[in-house]
Amino acid sequence: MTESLAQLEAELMPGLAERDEKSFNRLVQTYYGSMLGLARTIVGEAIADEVVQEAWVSIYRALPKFEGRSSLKTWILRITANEAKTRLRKESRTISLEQFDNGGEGILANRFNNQGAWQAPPGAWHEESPETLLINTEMGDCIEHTLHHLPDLQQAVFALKDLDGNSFEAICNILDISSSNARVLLHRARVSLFGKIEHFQETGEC
Amino acid sequence: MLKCKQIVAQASEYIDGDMGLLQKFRFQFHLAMCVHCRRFVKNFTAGIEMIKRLPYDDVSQEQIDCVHRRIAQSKHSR
Ligand SMILES: [Zn+2]
Repeated sequence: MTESLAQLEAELMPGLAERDEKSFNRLVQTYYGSMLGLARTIVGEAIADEVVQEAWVSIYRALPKFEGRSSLKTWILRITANEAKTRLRKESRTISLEQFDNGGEGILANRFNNQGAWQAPPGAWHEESPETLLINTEMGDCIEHTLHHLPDLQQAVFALKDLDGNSFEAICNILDISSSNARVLLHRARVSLFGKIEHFQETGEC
Repeated sequence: MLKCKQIVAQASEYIDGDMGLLQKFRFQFHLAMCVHCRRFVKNFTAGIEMIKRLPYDDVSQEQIDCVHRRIAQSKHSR
């Protein structure tokens, strides 16, 4: 968590303990986006907003009991994740669990020869800096599309780490997974997204 | 020496600064010898950095109002 967020939480805490409306509004404004980003990965776009709304009701009720063992943000995201999982269970859906049996090269696995050296090495990209890469909105849409088709937990870990900047420690707490699983899931997601960006760079298509 | 495949498998640990000294040394040694993996790590890092810049949507006043309505309702229903 960034220093400014930690500071904001420290400022809001006294008011929140008494359910002061202004402080609560600040809290909603600050974390709604992160919660929505997380909820989407677990329950999908259509009902993510509803799950976040429901999570706020739980958060509002539980606020006086918040003990500060984690940051407020981690606690809020954990409640959101649990709300989303409960919602899945109600609809008889479950988070897809993954086997971690093959290596860490994911969708790039068939790019190597038997000796584990590149058979189809990566090509040079036309634009290599993040700033110029992002100019292309079609690629942005393509990445979003790809992200939402990754397995649920991969999406969730990726959103929490690379889009929302949470630490591995916080992510394990939020999703109830081990830190080694979190690392594997993150890498898988990144490799898949990388594969897509590479494809886009080469063909101009998603 | 590490294989190219292992470089790909360990790339996230490398760019997240999650490696011990020896592992990092072996990783960097491979990069020094292998132009393909240098390019891979460069592109992989650029790709992730780009994605990190995708913005989260801003919260609208309507969404905030909706939270308040939900909380008010839940008080009544208890
Ligand atoms: Zn190599």
